[in-house]
Amino acid sequence: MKRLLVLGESRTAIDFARDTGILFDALSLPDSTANALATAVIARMDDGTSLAGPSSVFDILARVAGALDLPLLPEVDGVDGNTFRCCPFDGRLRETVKVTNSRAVFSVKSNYQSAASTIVEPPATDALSVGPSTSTHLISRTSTVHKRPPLHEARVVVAGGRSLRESAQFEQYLGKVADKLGAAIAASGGAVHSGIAPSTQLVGQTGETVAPELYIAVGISGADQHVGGMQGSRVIVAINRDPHASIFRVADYGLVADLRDALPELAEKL
Amino acid sequence: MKIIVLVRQIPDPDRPIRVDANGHVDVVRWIANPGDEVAVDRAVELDAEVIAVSTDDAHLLSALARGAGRGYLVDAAVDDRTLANALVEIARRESPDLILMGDGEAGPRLAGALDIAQATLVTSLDLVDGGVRITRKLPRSLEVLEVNLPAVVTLHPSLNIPKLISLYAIVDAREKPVESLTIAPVDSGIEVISAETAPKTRLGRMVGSVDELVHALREEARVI
Repeated sequence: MKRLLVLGESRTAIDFARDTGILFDALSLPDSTANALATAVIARMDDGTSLAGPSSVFDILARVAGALDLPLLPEVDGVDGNTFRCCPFDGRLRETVKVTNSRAVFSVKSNYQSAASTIVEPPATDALSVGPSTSTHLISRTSTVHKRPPLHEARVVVAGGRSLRESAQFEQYLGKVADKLGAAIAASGGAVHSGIAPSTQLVGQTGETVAPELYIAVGISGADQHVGGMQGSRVIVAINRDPHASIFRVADYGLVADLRDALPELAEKL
Repeated sequence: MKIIVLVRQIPDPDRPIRVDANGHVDVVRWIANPGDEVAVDRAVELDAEVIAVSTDDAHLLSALARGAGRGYLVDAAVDDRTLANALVEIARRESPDLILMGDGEAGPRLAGALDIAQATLVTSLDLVDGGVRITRKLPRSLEVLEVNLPAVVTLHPSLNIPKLISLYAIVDAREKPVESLTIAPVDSGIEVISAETAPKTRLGRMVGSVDELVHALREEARVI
């Protein structure tokens, strides 16, 4: 690979590009549709250029890979010389791979950690010029931003299970800890199905798959369904009253305690 | 209105994926991707001619039982790149108005290969004059767009609860026409050197108090 084009101003994709040691250019993306952006990106690539971007622009990356028939490496979370580590099947598998094609598309995981210890100034990014979108027309856009970060952008996620009993307790016990950590709030299937948390907070195989730096599971038993949606997290903490709860088997740190005692104390000590 | 729906396979979330000593990956059980099954349900609700495409005969049968009128059984590897190539071939033959599936790599890849419009993370879909009006659920906003046809639309993972199908529908589905298609595998362009299943080994350390937990997160894991 001779050259790399990096999309977006995301820190993770730029760190990845630096770690590869390949010469790269960074492009900032204007507000447009995936169709128009992908066309403009392709116009900037010659036949020696590979493409990298954060997984948040996966729709553009995959479209470019299709248009140019290039291999795509999903959820890349490591580089070592000319090998890459990526995580197919929703992060259930970790593969170390070599790219045999002359170029490829890299979708960089949102919690990519740079191997380099020094912090380097971000490179100058040049804005991508995009033509009008002819096949897709934006009618309206409504912001859904709440005071907490969206689930899969959050660095820290605090998740609750059915043992919180009612929605007010979700806010009462998880809310304070979440706000201290700038975290998003998530829920297990049990909590969503019993109606105490909205389905937009559902983490699991049928909900969102998240991989934050820190995942705190509170009063969650640890059903496979839920674990499948969070096992890519860097550090997992489990707080549960039942010492035999299976969530402790996937946790880095476990605390056997009643959440009604432990959470207020945690909020105070953070 | 003609809609092609792709039904892919994913590893069963309730069964393990194993890697043996030689690095060979063994998926214990594959299931039909629930997002794709929901796509079949939606396509049938749009009152269109629905054509299901799958690499697995049982999954194709259940798509036909959901209401797809006919199917293509693709004899190919399950990777998204080979599958997108197979779909390019079928789309050229069928000239569909819409290609619908669950979230993932195959949708935008196919839209790029066919050079037609795409919309991902879609939570609602209605037919309008000359196109479809869709709602996309993004992390920070909801977008309403009108997309010209033909287009590839992929559904948001939060919709992933397929309808139940009746036994009668499965019996009837056996009568529906299925065409087999063999696609030569493409060189993936990627050589897998090693694979492992556990995303990482967990410390599994029990702490005795909130103080100990906070200390570990600050000093040991350095995550807060």
